[in-house]
Amino acid sequence: MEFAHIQILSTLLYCTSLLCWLLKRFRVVVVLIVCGLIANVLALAMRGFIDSHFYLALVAEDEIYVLPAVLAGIALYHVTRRAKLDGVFVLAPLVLTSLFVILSPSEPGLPSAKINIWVAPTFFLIETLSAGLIFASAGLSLGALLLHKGHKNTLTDRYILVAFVLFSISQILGALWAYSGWSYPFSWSNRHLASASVWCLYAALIHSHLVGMRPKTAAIIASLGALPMLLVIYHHQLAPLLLAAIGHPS
Amino acid sequence: MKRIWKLFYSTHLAIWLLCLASLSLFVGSIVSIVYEAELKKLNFMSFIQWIEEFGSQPQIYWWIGAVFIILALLALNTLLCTWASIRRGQVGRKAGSILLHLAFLVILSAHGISEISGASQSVIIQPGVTKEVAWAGLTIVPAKIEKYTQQIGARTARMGMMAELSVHDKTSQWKPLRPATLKPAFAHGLSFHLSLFDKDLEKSQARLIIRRDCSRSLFISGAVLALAGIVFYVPSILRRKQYQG
Repeated sequence: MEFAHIQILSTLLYCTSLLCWLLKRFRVVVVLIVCGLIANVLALAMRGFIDSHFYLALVAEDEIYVLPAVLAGIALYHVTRRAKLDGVFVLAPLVLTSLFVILSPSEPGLPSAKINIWVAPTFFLIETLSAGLIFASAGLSLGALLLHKGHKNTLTDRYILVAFVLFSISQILGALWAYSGWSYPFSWSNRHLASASVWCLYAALIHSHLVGMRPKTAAIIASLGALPMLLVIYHHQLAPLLLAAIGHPS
Repeated sequence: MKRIWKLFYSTHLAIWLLCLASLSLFVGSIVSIVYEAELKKLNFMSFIQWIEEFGSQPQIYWWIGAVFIILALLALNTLLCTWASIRRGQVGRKAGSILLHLAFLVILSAHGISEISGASQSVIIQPGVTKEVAWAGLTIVPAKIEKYTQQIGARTARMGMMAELSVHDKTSQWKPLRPATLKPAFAHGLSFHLSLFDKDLEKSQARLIIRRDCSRSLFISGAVLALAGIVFYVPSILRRKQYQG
C-alpha cells in the first residue's frame, strides 16, 4: 500500500467524522479522528522514508501534508474537552485541508542540504503547528459569528495565544534559516509578507483584552487571520491561481 | 496637543495600527505575486537604490509607503507605552511584556537599518578565477569548490556545497574562508553565503552572495529578547481570567 492510498483513507475517515458530528454521534467522531490521525501519521512517515532512510526534514517541510495531522490533533483535543456544536468549526478546516492534500497531490521531495541543519525542520514544524491553531481559532470565531453567539470561548482564546507564541518563535527560526541560506532574514516575497500580516493581526488580537474589545470585533479579526495564513501555507498553489485570474502572462 | 500626546500612549491606537499594518502587508503579499521579480530585487538592494530603479512604477510600491508610515507610528506608540510601564515601576510584574515590546522595537530598527544601509551582491565563483567586488573593495580568489550529491534510485539529490577561498580588502592580509551551503563565513564586516540555487551553473561554479549588513547583531539581540520575553510572558498571561476554563 502506498502513502497516497493511506492518505486517502485518512481523508475519508476525517470526512466521515464530520458526518458523524452532524448526526451527533460524538463517540464515533472521536474514534474516527483517532483512526484518521493514525493513518495520516503513517502516510507522513512513509513520505519521509526514502531509500531505506527516514528524513524528518522532508516530512516537516511538506507543511500542506502535515497540517491535517495537526488539525486532527486539535480537533481531538477540542471534541474530547467539550462536545458542543462548535466542534464542527474545527472539523471543517480539518476536512478541507485534508481534501486539498488528495486533490492536489505532489511527489515527495529529495533530501537536500536542509537535512543537515535543525533550524529548517523545526521552523516548518512550529509554523505548521501555529497554522493549525490559527485555522482552528478562525473556524471557531467564524462559528461564533454565524451562530450569533457573539463571543469567543476560553479554548479559542487559548488557541490564539498559543498560535501567536508559536508563530513568533517560528518567525525567529525562519529569519535565522533565511539568513544562513539566502543572506537576508526577511524576503520581499508573498510568503514572508503574508507571515508578517498574520503576526500583526494576531498581535492586535492579543492586545484586544487590554481595551475590552467587543467580542464580536475580536471574532471578526480572528476569522480574518485565516486569509493571510492561507497564503503562507498554500502560496505555491494560490499564486498561479491569482495570476491566472487576473490574466497575467506568467 | 495633550490629547494627541495621550493618543500615542493608547493601546487602542496600537490595535488599530497593527490591524492596518496587517492589511497593508496582506495587500503587499498579493502585489508581490504579480510583481515578484521586481520586489525580489529589494532583497539585494537598499531601498533607496531600489526606488531609484522602480520609482516610475508606483503600482509596485505604493503599499510599501503605507507599511513604513504605519510601522513608524507603531514603533513610536510601542516606545511610549513601554516607557510608561517602566516609569510606573511595573518592570517586575510586566517583565515579559516589556521584553517583548523591546524585542519588537529592536527587530523593527534592525529591519530599518538593513533596508537603508544594507548592500549585497551575488557573484559566480570558479576555482582559479579571481573576482573583484568593487563596492566592498574586495578581491576573492576561489581555490576549491566541492559539491555533494547522493544517488537515490534514479534521482540525484543535491546535498549542498563547500568552497575554499581567500579574500583580501586591500587594508588587511588575505583571509582564508570556507563557506558552505547554509553555513555562511564572516570576514571584513561582510558575510559570505553559498547560494542554494546553482542549477544554471557549471559543475565547477558556485554562486556566492556577499552581504554587508550592520544590523546583524541587532537582529540577534532582538531574537534573544523576544525568546526571553516569551518565557516570562506566557506563564503570567495564562493566569488571567480570560484563559481560565
